Amino acid sequence: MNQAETPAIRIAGMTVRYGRRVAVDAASLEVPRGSVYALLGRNGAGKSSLVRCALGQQRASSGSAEILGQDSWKHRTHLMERIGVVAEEADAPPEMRVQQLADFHARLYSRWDGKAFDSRLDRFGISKQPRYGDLSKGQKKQVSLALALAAAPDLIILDDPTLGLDVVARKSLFEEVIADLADRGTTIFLTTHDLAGVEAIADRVAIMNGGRIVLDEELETLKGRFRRIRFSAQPLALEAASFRTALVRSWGAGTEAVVSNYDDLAFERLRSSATIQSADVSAMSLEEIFIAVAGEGANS
Amino acid sequence: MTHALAIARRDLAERTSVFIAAAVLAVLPFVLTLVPGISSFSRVDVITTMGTLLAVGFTLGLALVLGVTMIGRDLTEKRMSFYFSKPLSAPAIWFGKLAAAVLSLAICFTILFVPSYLAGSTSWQKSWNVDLPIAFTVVTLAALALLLFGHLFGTMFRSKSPLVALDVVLMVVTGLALVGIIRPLLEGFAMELAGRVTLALGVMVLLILLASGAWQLSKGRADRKQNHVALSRFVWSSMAIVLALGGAFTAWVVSASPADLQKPEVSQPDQGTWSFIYGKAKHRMDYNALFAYDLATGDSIRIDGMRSWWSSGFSRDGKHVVYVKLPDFRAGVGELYLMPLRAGAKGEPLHIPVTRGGAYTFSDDGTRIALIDPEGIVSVYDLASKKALVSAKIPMNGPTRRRFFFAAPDVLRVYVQTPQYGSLKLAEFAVEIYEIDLRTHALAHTGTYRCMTKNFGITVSDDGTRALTVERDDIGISHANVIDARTGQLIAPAPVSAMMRVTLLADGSVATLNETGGEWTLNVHGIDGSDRTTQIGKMQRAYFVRQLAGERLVIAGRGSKSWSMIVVDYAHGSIVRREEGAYASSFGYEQWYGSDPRRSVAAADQPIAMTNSTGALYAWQPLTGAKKKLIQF
Repeated sequence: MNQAETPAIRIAGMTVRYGRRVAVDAASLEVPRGSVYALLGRNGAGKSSLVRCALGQQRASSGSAEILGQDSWKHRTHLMERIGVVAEEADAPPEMRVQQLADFHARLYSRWDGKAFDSRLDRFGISKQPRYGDLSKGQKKQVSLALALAAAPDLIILDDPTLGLDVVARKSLFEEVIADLADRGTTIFLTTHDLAGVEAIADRVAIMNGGRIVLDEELETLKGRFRRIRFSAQPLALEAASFRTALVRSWGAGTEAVVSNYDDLAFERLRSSATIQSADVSAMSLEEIFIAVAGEGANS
Repeated sequence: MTHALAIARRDLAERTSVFIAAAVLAVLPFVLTLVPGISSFSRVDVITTMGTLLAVGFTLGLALVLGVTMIGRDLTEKRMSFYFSKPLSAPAIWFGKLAAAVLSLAICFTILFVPSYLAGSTSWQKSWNVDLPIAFTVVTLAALALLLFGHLFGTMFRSKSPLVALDVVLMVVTGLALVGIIRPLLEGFAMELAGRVTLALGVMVLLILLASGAWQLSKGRADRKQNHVALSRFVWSSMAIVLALGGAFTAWVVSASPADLQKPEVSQPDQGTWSFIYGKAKHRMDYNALFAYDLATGDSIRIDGMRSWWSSGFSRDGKHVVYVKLPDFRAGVGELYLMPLRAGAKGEPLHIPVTRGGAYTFSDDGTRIALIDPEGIVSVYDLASKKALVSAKIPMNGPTRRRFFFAAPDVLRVYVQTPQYGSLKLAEFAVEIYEIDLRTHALAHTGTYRCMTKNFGITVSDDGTRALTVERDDIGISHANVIDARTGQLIAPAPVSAMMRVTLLADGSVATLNETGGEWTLNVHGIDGSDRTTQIGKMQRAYFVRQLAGERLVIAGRGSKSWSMIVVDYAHGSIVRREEGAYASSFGYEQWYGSDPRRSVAAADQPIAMTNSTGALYAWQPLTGAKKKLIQF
């Protein structure tokens, strides 16, 4: 496998334990180069632990993580030259002024682009004088993003990048910044709660639930196979159509089900069933799929 | 390196407020001189004293704070990911932060110290009485130690991990192990070696702590608990290696055998074949080892932890010895051990507490032991039952010369010189004589002997009836008298002059060695008034070594080239034997050491420990002239 074919990130059988608690349970995933990959999950699902281990900041209890074809624990220092990271929590020293942060980064990255940093800060409307600790949560994220991007990384890892951003900044992040990076072939790996934003740009999504990756596929495929079906009969009728359900619940006198292997022929079989007077199907947003897969009442 | 510098620069920039605080404090000593009350002192003294105190206090305090926070705070506040998401290696992060901390300390110390020092460098030298480079070195090492230990404890305690309990246990174990490494050296009087070992261990511990940060960050990275685990593993495993090395070194040092001694001193009792040999051990700097050594067989028993090798006493038959072990280096109360003198024997504690400076003596049958402490409390114990038979307080003020012996199986006689040794009131010197009756527990003052100098010694005849008192001044012997050993009444002045050697013989006769024009003669003044003379020959120096059966004396004499041992038959005024090129290793018969002042006649088969010019130790039989080489030192 040549370098271009190796995934940007490959995680294999990663488990992270904190004492007896399992935060990440045998997780495996691959992020293709040049893709926008979104890792979704509820709070405490294990996303940040997985990201920290993937970045070589923390040692996994077992399993391995490779970034750009190299073991990220062993080659972290070298790899970080090519990776931009925006952490979930603002981790830059609060006493440092934005300018000092830029100067510090400039000494560390050979591909540092000061002009790009300045222009991005201008677009965010943030001055270089304030101390990092005095910035708002959203501004901190934006400064961190600007710092990460100015190093011209091949891979950018964003851990919940929209946390604290207002609606405009969020929209800008997804539709301008990330889309622009994706267009230039930069691999983007992000974890987020902002499913609407992700839906517009992600090529591939994975969902973590209870430390396990319960879903990992192309977004279009995902959306193609998930449907909400409502029909006026008991859930038993679903068996006739051979649907796999992610969520089944009562809906009036009938049933509402989220199926994960939808196809039109199967639906026609369901609708023509003698016990069913009416049935309809609707497409689902990523958020709805997420709730069905990772929300309360989801079939494990 | 570049990255470490970038981190150091970043951390330094963060500490501007600390430098400003130091600058403000630097003015304080100058302002203090204007305060009423303080202004009455020398202005320069106030500035240099306060400036130094502030500089040292601030620097050491800051070292501790920086140690606790430089890594620990970032870990606790989850900011370490900032560094680990950059192309920064763990050593670059650690050494960058460490360099910034050290530089911060240096800058603050300079800001605080230099102005006050410049205000009065001469006054500073006078006030502190220490060389500036030494002071800098001490402060630097203390600051570095606080910084690194601060980091160690900061990481451990900030992790809030139960592992900290194990750390505390291992800290205690390490402390005990360090004591275990150093203490045997101190017990061997190896102050310099102990100092160097301590320094070496200290340097190694600092090096471990210096490296530990880099290791900790390499393995633990941004995770607080994993940092703690990595740090603990590194520190304690490295410490175990250092302690093992230190322990092995100490074990090697204390494994010195009698053959490792250089120029050993020998303490030989009048009876028996066993002696104490003691001295610095080869290749071990100032470490001293002590052995009970059998001159007849070469068997030895090493005696560890005996703080004062002279705090020992042989039984009159030479078959037992008691000695004191102190529980720690500075302890005032030790424990008395009794050891039978035979191969493979071990000292057994008698569970009798002994005060430092105490003295003790056996009863002639070896069944009892009497102790006298520096306060004058006399106790007699039965060795079989370890029970006190009697205890009495002899009027005595502080440590003084005491000699005592069992004048009869149930009577202990004690000689105490008063006032306490060191007084300048010469006219008041006296030896008070007491007897304690073990049956009635009565303490009786039996006599007083007034002496003229504080440098006083007393020996007693074998039967305990006559005593020889010898007083010395700066020139030599000033007074010597034969007295009644119980009452102190003068019997006769001893016929001595300043430069003579004199000793009491077992029967109460007085033997002197006299020199006239380089020719030495031995005179023995018998208790019957007889005076027997033996010509010894030309010598430069001479001293008494031992009294043998058959009215013979062993004398050591220094000729023009070497020492020789001379056996004199003073009954017939003849020399029986000369052993050239050798001298007695023990202090000899004239010694004032030991508790029991009685003189005795050596057993016929008792060898004398003798050293020749090559440094070999021999056992020499003075009656037959047979000699056996024991150790080549």
